[in-house]
Amino acid sequence: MRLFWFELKKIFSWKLILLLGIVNFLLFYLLLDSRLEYFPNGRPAKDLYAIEKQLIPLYGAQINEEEYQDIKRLYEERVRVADKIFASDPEAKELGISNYQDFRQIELNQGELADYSSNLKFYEVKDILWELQAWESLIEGYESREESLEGDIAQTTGARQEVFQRLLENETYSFYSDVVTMDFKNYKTNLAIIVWISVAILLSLVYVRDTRAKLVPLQYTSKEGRATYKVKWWAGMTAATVLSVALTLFYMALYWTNGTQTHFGLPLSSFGWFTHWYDMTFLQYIVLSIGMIFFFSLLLSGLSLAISTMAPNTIVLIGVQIPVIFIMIAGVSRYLIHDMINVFRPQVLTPVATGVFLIATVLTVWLVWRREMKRNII
Amino acid sequence: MLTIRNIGKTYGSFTALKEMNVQFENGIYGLLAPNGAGKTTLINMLVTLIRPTSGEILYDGKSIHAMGERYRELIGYLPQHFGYYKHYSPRKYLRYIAALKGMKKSGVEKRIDEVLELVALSDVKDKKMRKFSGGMIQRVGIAQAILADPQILILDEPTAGLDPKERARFRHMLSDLARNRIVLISTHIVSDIESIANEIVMIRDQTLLYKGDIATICQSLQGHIFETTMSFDEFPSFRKDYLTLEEKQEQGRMIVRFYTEQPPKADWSSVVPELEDVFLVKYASESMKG
Amino acid sequence: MRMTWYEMKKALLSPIVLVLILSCIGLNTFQIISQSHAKDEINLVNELIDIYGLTITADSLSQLNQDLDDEAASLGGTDGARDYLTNMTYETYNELSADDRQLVDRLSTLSMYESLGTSLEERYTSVNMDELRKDLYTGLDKNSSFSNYMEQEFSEWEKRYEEIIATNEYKQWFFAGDYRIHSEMYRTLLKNIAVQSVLIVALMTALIANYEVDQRTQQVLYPTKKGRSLMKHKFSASLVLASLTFFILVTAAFGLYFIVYDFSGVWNSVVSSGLNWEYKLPYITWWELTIWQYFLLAVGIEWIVVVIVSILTFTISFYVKNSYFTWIICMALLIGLFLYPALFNAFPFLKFLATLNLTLLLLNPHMYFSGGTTLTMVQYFELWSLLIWAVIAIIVSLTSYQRFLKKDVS
Repeated sequence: MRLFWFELKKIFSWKLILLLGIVNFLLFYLLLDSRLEYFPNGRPAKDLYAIEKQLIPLYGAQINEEEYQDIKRLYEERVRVADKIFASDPEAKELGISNYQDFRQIELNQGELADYSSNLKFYEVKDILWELQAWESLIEGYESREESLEGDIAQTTGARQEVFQRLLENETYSFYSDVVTMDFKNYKTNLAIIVWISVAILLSLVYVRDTRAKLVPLQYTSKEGRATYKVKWWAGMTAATVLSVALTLFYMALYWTNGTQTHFGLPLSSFGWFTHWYDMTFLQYIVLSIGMIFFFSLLLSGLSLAISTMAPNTIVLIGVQIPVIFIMIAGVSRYLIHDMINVFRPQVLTPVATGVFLIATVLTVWLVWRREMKRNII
Repeated sequence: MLTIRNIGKTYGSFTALKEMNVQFENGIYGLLAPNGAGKTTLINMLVTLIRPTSGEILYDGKSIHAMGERYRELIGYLPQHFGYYKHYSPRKYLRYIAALKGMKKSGVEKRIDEVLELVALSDVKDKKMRKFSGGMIQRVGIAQAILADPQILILDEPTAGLDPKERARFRHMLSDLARNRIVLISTHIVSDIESIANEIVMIRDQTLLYKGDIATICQSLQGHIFETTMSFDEFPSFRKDYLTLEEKQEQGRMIVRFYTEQPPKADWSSVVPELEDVFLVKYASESMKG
Repeated sequence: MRMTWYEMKKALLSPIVLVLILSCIGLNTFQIISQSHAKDEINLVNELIDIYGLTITADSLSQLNQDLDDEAASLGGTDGARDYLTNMTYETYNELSADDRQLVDRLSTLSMYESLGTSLEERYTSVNMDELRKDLYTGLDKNSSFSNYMEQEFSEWEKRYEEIIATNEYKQWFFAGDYRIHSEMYRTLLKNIAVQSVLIVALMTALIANYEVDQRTQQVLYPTKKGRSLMKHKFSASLVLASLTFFILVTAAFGLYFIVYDFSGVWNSVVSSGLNWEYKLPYITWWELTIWQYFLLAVGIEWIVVVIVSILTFTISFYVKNSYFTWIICMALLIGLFLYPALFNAFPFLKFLATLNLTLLLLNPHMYFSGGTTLTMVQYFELWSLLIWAVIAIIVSLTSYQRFLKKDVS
């Protein structure tokens, strides 16, 4: 146990902590900052989000006919606000616009409105126009909820089709947009990349450090002997766990400040655009996602330790880590984290790929471990 | 008692050591061998870094590989190039080594002070080793080897980098330690062995050549080591015929110490063989081969 | 020269470097092949240029139109090519023989070019410069001297746009913008190669520069006759290897690329061609650059960027004597360069200076020499960025070298 602490302290050397600090600072600004600062990003995303924050506490996940009428009334109230603005605007009058309905008509028919609506004078109108557009997209989505599922059913086959069929049979319609869920998917993917890179940086030196310092003969002839290898391994895994948990907690705490908690209790099926193989609440999805990120973080730790054992020097170490990290970013993060249970990926992709990754890692670690127990140290 | 029974080590077709048999009891052994004779292979096997491809090594009748941790707990080892962290102080480093050696935490600090005192590093025990001289580093190495009060102490070139004063202190320390343990020293410096070791172990051609006390082996050359004086001009041809062991210049002439099986000549004076002579004579064929 | 070669061998003999280079070549090959499904259709533009010439004129267009109608007629279309294609349904298409289907495909592609060519003038001249000018002021303090500068740049660019129209420079055939050839070549391929080179080059440079520290041979080498000037050889070895890596990757990738895509007809076309219109705007370049000129320049700029990265890595190695940390710090530096202009959001001029940086140059080869409203699109952006960073790199490396010459080696 004492040796374990020594090894753990060696892993968390102040130089590495400093380097990890710098790397995290940069990667945070590169990958996460904009998702916090500009959330929700753009329009009508911003408007959709505001409306959803208003509606979810009132109506929850599934909207019945009565609630729908309520929502329409809320929308019409806003339309009246827009009407007033148009009515009191002389330029609008010139263009023959006396209310929102007119505006919509003309917008559909004529191009000259482009000039009009982009005119800075009408900035206040613009705001409500975006808002109304958001309302309308929700309402239209509701109106066409069955058709859209039927369309999905027509376009798909097999298990994928069954998912849509089940949604249709159970009348599980998605009323809300994917502004929040999509944002989280992007956020967690980038979070995963940061955590993984940090873990790889932390653990790559575990064994190379002592190989370079020529300390291995002393370690392997001490009472601990080759068990030192295992102690270092466990210290490495512990360090990776500590770092992963700390970073995940930190970045998720930042995510928390986005204020999407209103959406947490709703099932994934209530958010539009993307359908998932399994239904669960958004919060459960968040927990599952973090679990997956953490799981892969541990696998990468195992791999990094194996690489650290086998690499004769730090150049080989980096040279091997480059493709490994590339696979983690281009492959794992995109397919197994971002699109984890997304219905447009094959259902078996995530479990099978994760399983293969797990087996490959365990096998590598086991082989390296076994070799180390027998190896001639010259 | 450490028994090496019939061990050999091959790497593919290359033989590093073969049919080696030797036993060690308490005392200081000097391991003497030219480079490449298999000295390092033997040491690496004794400290479990490599496994013999044939034969076995026993401690008190038990295989050291079967003993595992119980065996390693008994050994203290100083490798020829021993590793340390430059940014550690000796104290911090020894704490780490103590953990590796599984020493009880309660006694560690006291023991560290003791061994650092023994190797005269008390003044610098909290200084980073980055700035240490070669001799100081070597003393840290010795300190870590004796830290856990080992039953078997194996030192590969321990006097490298030590100045004469340090060397004297080291010899003194070893004779103290050797009373109740096995100490095995490998070195090229014959005078070190002469003054410290009770017995020497010689390896030649990948196997044991001789094990015994120094007097006995020196005795074996009795009557074959001579000194003679000659002019510089005579020396080259003399060297062709005899195995010369030492040449000195004195008053414009050469005093030559040499080995021969021939009966003594008139101007030769027989001298008492020393370990250095043994080394040169026993390995003469080897160096001539090379 | 021999010393430099010895130093180069230290990196070349490290199999990991070769493995990495081969992996990158594999990746780029995959990228090219996986995008090449429409290559026959894309290559058709060469035939067009062969027959009707590189410049789009009213005569050649009407000739093309006529020929297409004739071709349609030979396929049985009586009312011209456009009608024939509009009336072509999925079913009738499937009823055709394989040869005829090929002819129809050909006809439809050529007809697309014909309509692009015909509408080119109207489309190209309709770029709303006044609207674009408005974008210029986002985040800019009007009337500041810097906004005057940007304003002036914009006016210059607008003049250039008018010149392109006046001289009909844009009326030259190129692959239709929908194929995104320019983006594929530069934004994807050349940028990927440059990034890959940077990853490998930083690694090799760190390896060569730190080699003696890693191998503990400093004490043997520095007291020799060459002594510490060995670093000069290491330095040139790094630069040669950086160039070699970059050009190996470029040759492998673009060699394949030009086999897949036939550029024989378009080399002398211009990047500012109205057909080279992929997104919101066409590429309105500051100078008239032919495709081959642009290609060579873009490769040249990326090459210099890679070499500068090598110099910077080398400099870092003087201070951080550990290749692991050196490499990570170098990557962090490049990411930092990408981010740090944002620090100066409140100070447009400082932001502009910060924008003249290596990483932005590295990542945007598709925007080289193009004008526009952002800070990176001013005239001579590439030149200034390269100059500033070359000077920075040379100064810091020289000072570090001077320091190294005097420093204690332990």
